[in-house]
Amino acid sequence: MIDGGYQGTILRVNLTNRTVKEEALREDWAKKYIGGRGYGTRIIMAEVDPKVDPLAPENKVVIATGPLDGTTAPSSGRVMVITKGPLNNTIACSNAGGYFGPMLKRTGYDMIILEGKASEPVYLWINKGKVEFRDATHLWGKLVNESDQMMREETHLEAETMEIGPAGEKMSMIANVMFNGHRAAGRTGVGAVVGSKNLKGIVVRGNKGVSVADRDRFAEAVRSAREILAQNPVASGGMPLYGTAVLVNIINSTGSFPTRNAQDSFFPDADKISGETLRAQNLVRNEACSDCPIGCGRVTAIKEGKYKGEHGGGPEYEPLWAFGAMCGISDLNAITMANYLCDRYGLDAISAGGTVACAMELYERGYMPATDAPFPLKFGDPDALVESIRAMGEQKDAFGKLLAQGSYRLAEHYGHPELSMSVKKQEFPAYDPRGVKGIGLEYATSNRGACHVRGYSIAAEVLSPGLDRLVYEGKAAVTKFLQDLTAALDSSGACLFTTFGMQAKDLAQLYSAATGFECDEQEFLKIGERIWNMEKLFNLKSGLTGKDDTLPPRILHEPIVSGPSQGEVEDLGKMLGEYYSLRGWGEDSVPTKERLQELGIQDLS
Amino acid sequence: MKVLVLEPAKCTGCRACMDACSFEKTDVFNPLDSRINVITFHEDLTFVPTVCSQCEIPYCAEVCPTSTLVKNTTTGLVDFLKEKCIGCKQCVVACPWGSIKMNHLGKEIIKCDQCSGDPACVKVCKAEALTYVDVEDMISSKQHGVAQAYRRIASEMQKGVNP
Amino acid sequence: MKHVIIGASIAGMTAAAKIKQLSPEEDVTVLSAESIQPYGKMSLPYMLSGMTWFANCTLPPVAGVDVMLNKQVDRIDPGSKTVHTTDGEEFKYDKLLIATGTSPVIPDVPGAKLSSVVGVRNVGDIEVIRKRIEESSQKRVILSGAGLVNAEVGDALVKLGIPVTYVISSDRMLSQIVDREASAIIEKSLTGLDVELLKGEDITEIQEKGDALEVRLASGKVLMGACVVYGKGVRPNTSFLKGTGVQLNKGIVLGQYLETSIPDIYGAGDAVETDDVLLGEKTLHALWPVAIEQANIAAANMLGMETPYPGDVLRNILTVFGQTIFTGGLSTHDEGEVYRHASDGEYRKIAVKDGKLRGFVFVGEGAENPGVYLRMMKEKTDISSMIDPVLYGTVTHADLYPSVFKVAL
Ligand SMILES: Cc1cc2nc3c(=O)[nH]c(=O)nc-3n(C[C@H](O)[C@H](O)[C@H](O)COP(=O)(O)OP(=O)(O)OC[C@H]3O[C@@H](n4cnc5c(N)ncnc54)[C@H](O)[C@@H]3O)c2cc1C
Ligand code: SF4
Ligand code: SF4
Ligand code: SF4
Repeated sequence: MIDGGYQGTILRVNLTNRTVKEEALREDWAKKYIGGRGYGTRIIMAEVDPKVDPLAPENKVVIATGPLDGTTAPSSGRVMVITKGPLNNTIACSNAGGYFGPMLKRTGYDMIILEGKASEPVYLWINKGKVEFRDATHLWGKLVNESDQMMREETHLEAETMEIGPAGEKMSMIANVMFNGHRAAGRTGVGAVVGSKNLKGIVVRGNKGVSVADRDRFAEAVRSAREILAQNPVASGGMPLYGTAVLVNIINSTGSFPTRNAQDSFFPDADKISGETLRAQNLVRNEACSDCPIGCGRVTAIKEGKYKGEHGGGPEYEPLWAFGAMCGISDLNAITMANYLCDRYGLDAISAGGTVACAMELYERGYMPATDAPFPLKFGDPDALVESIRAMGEQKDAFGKLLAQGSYRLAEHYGHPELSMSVKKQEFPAYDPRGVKGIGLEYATSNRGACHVRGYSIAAEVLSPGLDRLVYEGKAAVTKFLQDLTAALDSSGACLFTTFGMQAKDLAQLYSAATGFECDEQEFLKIGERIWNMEKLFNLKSGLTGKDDTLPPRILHEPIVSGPSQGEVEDLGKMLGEYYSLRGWGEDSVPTKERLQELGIQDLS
Repeated sequence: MKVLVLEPAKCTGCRACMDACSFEKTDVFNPLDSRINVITFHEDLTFVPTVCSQCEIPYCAEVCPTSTLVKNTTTGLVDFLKEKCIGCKQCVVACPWGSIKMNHLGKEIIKCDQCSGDPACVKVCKAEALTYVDVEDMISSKQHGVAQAYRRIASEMQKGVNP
Repeated sequence: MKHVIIGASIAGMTAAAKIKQLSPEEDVTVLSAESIQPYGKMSLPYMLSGMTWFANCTLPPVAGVDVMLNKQVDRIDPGSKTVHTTDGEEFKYDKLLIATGTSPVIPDVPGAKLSSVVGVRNVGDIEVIRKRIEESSQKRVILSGAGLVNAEVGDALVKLGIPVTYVISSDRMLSQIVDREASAIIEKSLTGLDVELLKGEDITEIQEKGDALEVRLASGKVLMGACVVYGKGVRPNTSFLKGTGVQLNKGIVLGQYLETSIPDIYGAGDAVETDDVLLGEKTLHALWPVAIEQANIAAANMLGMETPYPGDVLRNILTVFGQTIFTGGLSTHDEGEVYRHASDGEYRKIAVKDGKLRGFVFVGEGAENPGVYLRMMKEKTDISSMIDPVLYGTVTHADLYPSVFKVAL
């Protein structure tokens, strides 16, 4: 019996036959994998052949919440999209905030499994337990903000939405799935999978409450968790004040701020694109996801220049960097505009920025013939940035189509894959492993390709006085620990940012009180490790190997040219072996039978 | 006497207050059972929290045929005496802010009682868009302006007909 | 000053309280034709269903106000400023308020005067119904008309497990307040309940048959029932005004200060006709909240505080047979541009003309902030930019006063 946290029902939607089916949530899986990312991955493991073409109807998508979604547990409104990703054939799990997750839960479903492919564009309208397939031909081609509004107008204005933009429809490898019109499940091209199924979006509205197993214990756990965050200077100071953009100056000042496609890692103009400047120049107000006391979201408007009058959400730290330093651009309005466009087309901003940066380097080095580019692609040119994003979103010409495949396929096309700043074809984010050693290990080993949010070692290496960012010792352990913690945390429905202050024990406390599944810190981390290993197993079956756990050659061999980390390169080898052995994996990165046995997932290998 | 003060400009739209309120009152998280509501304007992402303002002359109490709603002069609250309610919904139509309503089952009238002096919503409002302050303090604080704006609207409405 | 108020119901008692509140030293007498303590008449269906009880529905006494029971007024002499009651008493007034409400219309068919034929307006009426369903061998109650009151009465009876038959001359339920589409939805929610609906029918004769009634219909059909409840409209109680010169139409016609056409005589409540903001003419509103509003304003005017009455709009909220119905303005037919949304037994309609809300009907979930709808109609708010929120019930006060509520950082 599940006492709380879960609604207990999963909705299975077959788009081919336009049928739906309710299935009971499995208690054994809930205990083993929590929910969200973990449970969703378990479903994909069970139902999707790892060798499947990610864009074929046989691939499935799980839209999942965790047991904390819809409660007052701090920052507990996450929703996860789990599928086999088209960008790099890994198990893709992308995570977004907003209000969709809690509302999905209030329809009575913990998760939705999407399978098959609709013959015509459709969207789903899930209203208080009733599911309708609705025609979406008139929405096909519409921008995310447009379809968000149109779908709500056609259903209920206060419903919550999930939608893909033109990028997802056209199956761009870096297409995201958007929620509430401006919250992105950005990475690994999950939007293309939804697009391949001819599904424009999902609209949800429900009236079912979410109960918890132990009322008083949960109330106390929430109180204590909120208190911890209130006392934390990042969670209750920097984040609300400047959003994630607070990091621009912090990271740049460590000289680990990849610049001009990582040809350098220090951006002298960082202050022009910082959180402080954003606040002064474009901020309208803070916006928080469901039940979030941090409120890192930014509602912004462009107040002058050629994009005057445009408004939307963000940019966050990552887009500020991706469109800014990475493209050598210091024009905050153009960066903001590029960010709005990514949200509207449904493009992953990190990958989009990384791809434009890569294109700029290819162009400047002459690898991309000038005739292939509709305009000069010079580092530092704000117009080139904005127009490239537009081209990528619209895919009207060969240039746009190529860029929409991401930097790896772009660079490979021109014979220089080494210029793609990616791991497993996914663009890395805004921290240079040459200047922050541990994050390189995270990029290399992340189960979905280069990523900072599977094991955010920056917290330990830069944001707290814990570890020296330039040493290698101890980084493997930190990375493993954070990866396991994050896997469990994601699965619970909480936001990664809660870990600025909260620890595994605090999360375990919330989880236990909500679900009635007794779980201490050790057990919570073990669940995370189980999920991590399960993801790894999927990737191995899909054809990836230990050789894919690496970094772009530039990071490994080209020293940083200027700034505080001048002269540094990353020596991944100093961490990788230790990491594998801590994980109980062989040198080929394959999990050992014993470890899988310990984790209770030997049957999945 | 303490009052709940709302400052829309500070609201981040996290709606934790709605979850907290429903949990406090029903032991279940369901914003539809919350006594406080956050209005979201999607087009420009602005958020406006609203909750019973415990009116001096309560519109809701005035129309209640069973004296279920009573202005309590000691606490300043407009008390809702559940056993007396017949569910006629006159109060629901009368309140200008939509601050008294039916619960999600359409069965029961619900309205803010300031949690007997310990508001659950305020505790989760990190943005301080909701605060619970002494009337005297409020008069001197900057929240005064906001309270004034609300009061102005209220009196404008009062000049008109009782809705 | 001496204030006399005729009628001790919500309008009369509200006015008495208001006068005392504004000016405690005034002398206020309320004359009631009833023999029991004042109570809220709109609670009657809830008393019938047993969900509440009489003592819970009494109107609070007003300190210093004399409520005289069993004083039925039969004559007024504006010249000498006296009020005469059927028991021969006389009351002098400086200011007089008429708050006598209405009585149900019971058509003059044979048998209409039988004691088990009623219209629900007083506690006595529901006592008759209760007694009859207890004592009669027939349990069925025959309801003539399916307007507001009979809809609520029928709902209360169904809750008690009593079968009912509606005999309605029109072809749909609640035709006075909702449109055809909404009627259909409400009628659909009767399925599974012991409710019979006879449309296009009328009662032509009622006869006592032992402990039951035999009811003959225009079609020739014959029904048996415990009692007959008429709900075919109401008529203002104004017969005692004959010869006073007080201007009457359907009800007592009032001016801007809620005064009658005769000096020092005011009116409030169901008995009066006042401006309707939407119709642009005077009408009988006969609504509980309107009676309260009018009573408050009349009281101020009786004290010489000139307070104009801004007029009101028609509206109703009620829950019957599991459906919540919220209507306002012109709601029975389509006028202007009509926007509709119907799904799963839910119904929404708004009528808009020149950008202004003219009427609405919601069945089911309704509106998040219903008060705003009345405000929009009364203030003639331009809603052309918020059709969807108005239709879907999500519009709020903040939409009407964005400059106050939507404050940027
Ligand atoms: C069953 C029922 C349900 C209702 N439901 C609703 C609803 O849901 N919403 C809504 O808005 N309204 C509703 N109403 C209408 C509402 O009750 C009236 O609008 C309200 O009662 C009007 O108040 P009043 O004081 O003007 O008149 P009344 O309440 O009719 O009272 C008039 C009083 O005057 C007395 N009187 C009459 N003539 C004389 C005389 N000659 N001398 C002395 N006294 C006299 C009568 O005995 C009576 O006590 C309902 C009414 C009924 C009967
Ligand atoms: S519910 Fe509305 S009318 Fe009643 S006291 Fe509260 S704000 Fe005032
Ligand atoms: S619903 Fe209850 S509280 Fe509201 S007016 Fe009716 S009786 Fe009073
Ligand atoms: S004070 Fe209590 S009852 Fe009122 S809105 Fe806040 S939590 Fe709800």
